[in-house]
Amino acid sequence: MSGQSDPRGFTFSAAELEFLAEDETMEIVPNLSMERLSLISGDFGPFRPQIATQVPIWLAVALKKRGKCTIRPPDWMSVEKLTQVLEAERDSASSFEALPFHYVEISRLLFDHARDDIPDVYMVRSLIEDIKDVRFHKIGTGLEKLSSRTYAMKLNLSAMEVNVIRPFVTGGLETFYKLGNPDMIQESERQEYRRPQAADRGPRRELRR
Amino acid sequence: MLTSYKLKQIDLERIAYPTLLFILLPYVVKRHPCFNVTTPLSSNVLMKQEALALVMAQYYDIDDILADEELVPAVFLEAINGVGLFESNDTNRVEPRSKVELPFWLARELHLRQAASVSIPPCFNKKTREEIGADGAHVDLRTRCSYFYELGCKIVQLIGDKTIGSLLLVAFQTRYKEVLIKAHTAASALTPKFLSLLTKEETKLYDAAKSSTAAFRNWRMGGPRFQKASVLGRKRKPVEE
Repeated sequence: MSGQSDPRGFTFSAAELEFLAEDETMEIVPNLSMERLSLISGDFGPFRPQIATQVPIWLAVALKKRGKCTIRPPDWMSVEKLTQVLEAERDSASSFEALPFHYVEISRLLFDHARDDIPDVYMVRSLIEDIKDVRFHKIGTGLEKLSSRTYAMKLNLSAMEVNVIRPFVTGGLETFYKLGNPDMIQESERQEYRRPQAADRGPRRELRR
Repeated sequence: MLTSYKLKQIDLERIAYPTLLFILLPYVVKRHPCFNVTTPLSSNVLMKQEALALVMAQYYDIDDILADEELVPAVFLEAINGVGLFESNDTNRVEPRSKVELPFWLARELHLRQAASVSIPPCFNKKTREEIGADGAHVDLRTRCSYFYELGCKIVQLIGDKTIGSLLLVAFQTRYKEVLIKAHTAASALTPKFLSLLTKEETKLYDAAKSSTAAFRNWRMGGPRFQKASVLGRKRKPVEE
């Protein structure tokens, strides 16, 4: 699957990611009676007033806009959970907490369409902003370590974070690969570039003593 | 349609030797606008097609073409009739051991035919190496060679001087971090001076990072969620009777 906004199909636009995120399911409490909906992605419903049911976000938002339901924010979107996540994010310099893959998009959708259904909406919002900023900062520092010996990375990144850094990371890795392949440099020379550093460190320590 | 298809067939038949194919193809074919590898071909040219596809990966790459235009110093080993040099006198003959600066694509062909020998361009000289070793991030590579890495790779493949390869790697490793930090943080006031130091490849990387962060920021700040197609807003023209 590739994005339509970029002619080369390398990246998604943020709006496209939001569109993809709308397929995630979440719980709503309808206040209307409706038969089961049979959609390509599955069957949803039946809808009975005051009985919670799982629907995709796009359906939830559509019903919400017409005042036909209240949205139950997902578990991770509570102040306690988010505070925990934020603290954990700040504590560890390299690992990322497990958040839903589309947490950035889902939170924005809910803030836009269902503000009255989220308890402590301002607090939740600023917590998510903080988490996002901390994570982006960590990604930035992590990328500094990218080198010709980087072959794969496995991180708990979300869709939006991956999408933002994708053009840069692929470009950087491609160049590293091109310059670092054995046709270009000899293996022995690669090590030579590390040796002087090690040699430099030795005498300095002696001087300090 | 039929004629252009036949033309392609003939082109493939004509370039029969695999070695010649690899050496000549980018340069012979680069100037052939009608050439298209995706055309269905008969099975006996399938192998050639695969070989072509490798070469063609770079075919439409404008940066690859532009990098080929960079000048490299070369020395003619043989006398050549029928060509003139801009600087020399009016004779249309090049003497052996005359030094010239040629665009890389020409220099390579002459080098491969042993008509000229390519020497290392000044942007990979000792001075530049020392500067990169001292503080790679602040060396002005753009004025020296705007396709520093591309040209470097090509020169290494041609001459086989692998010290250039490691120079390129070290240079990119140090400068990459700078690009990363500046692209994700710096305000636009800071950038012009910094941007003027970057080579074309680095600028591309920088722009990619900059535009993706900007797009994300725009989306987060809001803005119209739905954009009206330009067709919809248009008023219907009154029908003239």
